[in-house]
Amino acid sequence: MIWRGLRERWALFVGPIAILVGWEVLSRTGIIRPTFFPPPSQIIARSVIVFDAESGLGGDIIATVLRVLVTIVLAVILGVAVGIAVTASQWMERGAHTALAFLYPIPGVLFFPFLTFLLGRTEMAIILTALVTPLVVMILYTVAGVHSIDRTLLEVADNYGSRGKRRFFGILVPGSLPSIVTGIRVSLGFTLIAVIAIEMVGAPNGLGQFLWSNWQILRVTDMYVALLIIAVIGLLSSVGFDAVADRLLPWRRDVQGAQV
Amino acid sequence: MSAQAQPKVRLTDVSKRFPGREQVTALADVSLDIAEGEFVSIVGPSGCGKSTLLRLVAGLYEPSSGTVEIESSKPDRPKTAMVFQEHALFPWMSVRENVMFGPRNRNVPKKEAAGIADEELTRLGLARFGDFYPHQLSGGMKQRVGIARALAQDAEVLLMDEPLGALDAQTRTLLQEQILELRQQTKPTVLYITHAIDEAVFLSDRVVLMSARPGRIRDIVELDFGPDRTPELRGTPEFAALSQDIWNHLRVEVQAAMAVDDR
Repeated sequence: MIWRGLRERWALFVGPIAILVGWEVLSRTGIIRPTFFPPPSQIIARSVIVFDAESGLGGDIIATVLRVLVTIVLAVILGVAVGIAVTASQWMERGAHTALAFLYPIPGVLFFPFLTFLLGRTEMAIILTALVTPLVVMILYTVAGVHSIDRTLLEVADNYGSRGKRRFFGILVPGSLPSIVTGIRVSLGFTLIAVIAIEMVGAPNGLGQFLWSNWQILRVTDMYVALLIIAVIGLLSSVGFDAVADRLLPWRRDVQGAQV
Repeated sequence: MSAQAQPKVRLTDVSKRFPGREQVTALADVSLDIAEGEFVSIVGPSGCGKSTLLRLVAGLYEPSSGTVEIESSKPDRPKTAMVFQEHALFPWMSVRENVMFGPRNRNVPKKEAAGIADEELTRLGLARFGDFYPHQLSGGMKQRVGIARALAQDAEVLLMDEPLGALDAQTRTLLQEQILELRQQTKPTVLYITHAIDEAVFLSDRVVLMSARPGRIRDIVELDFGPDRTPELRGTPEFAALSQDIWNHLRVEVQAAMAVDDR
């Protein structure tokens, strides 16, 4: 199973490996300064500090992962609820669209100073700041999802008396689920970016804070270790989510399977 | 038709206009009574407002003028249940859940609703398929699920919007016979839209002919084959003559509709 997967996907690894080998050679030969660009082999060897309680890196990983999880869960629940509620009226939808178009391009981390005025340098301020961009994304994807529901299916819902809670959970949520799933995939990336950025400027712990503080004292290799871990978390979250996403849409998977 | 005091469905001077850059009048001054247990078909050129008429009866649209009345026999009974052209099943629900949809919306307990669904599925020969999902069924089976879903509503009026329009000829013939059987078993009041004249003649008590847009009632043809007709009706000279007669009436309208399209 694994071997077959590797044989089909070996091409995916050629690019990254080429870059790493090049980096290794350039660094070892001194063409680029090893002080700032230590060879990858050294970074990987140094990764054992993850298991070293003294470095505190393990706790930082847990802090970052928890923040990402809490943020994405909040973004999905609130985003889907708001997104569907907003489609109930054309005016609300237009109003929301203007507000979101205004918020969306602002880098989420810029809300941090403002939120610390209200909440102080608290965990709440960190989570709420990280929430801004993924929440906007989830609302936009949910609204698009509701619009993608076949009009005839909504006529069926009307004619068969589907209202309120039943309409929400029975028709609107499953009907917009394909778009919501795409929204979650996009939001996961934004959430990780936001959490790391906020940790760099204003959290007492977390991978972003670890990376930043090691940069300040020029412990460069440790900084790269944090960078590597962030990349791995990003990769695992998107691979892990793809595995779950297929299960969320059984009717979709079968339809696609049937077409192959 | 019958001289009953109160018809089941009464349309009085119903018109429907859709606003837009160019206001479209889909229906103009349609008046029609349908008696309890009667099977009425509407045929007409495409774009004549047949579907609009059905959606007005279903309450999905409000008439621009005129009234639509449906007599209630019981306070909780749904007024209409519609069978849609492209089956319109919810892909994320199993076949049984699709059929339970109406009863569940009326807060019928889950077990009871499942019982109703299985009964209707059995009636349509789909007893084994309750746990399947729509995409696992053929076109004809999906449409039968759509019909089962409507029957599970036990509504005052059954509305059917070209239910067999998307099916191949053989499946269609078979399903026509199944609808005839249903008619004989449960005697529902039906408003049926089709563009197949033979289908209308085969199933109905009356055939309403509509004109090209704006849709008006051009003619109403009464058929006296009675409800106890059999599939052999299709082979009789009367059937052929009536179908031809209706086509003669309709030809002008279809030509008019095509002329509008060409414009």
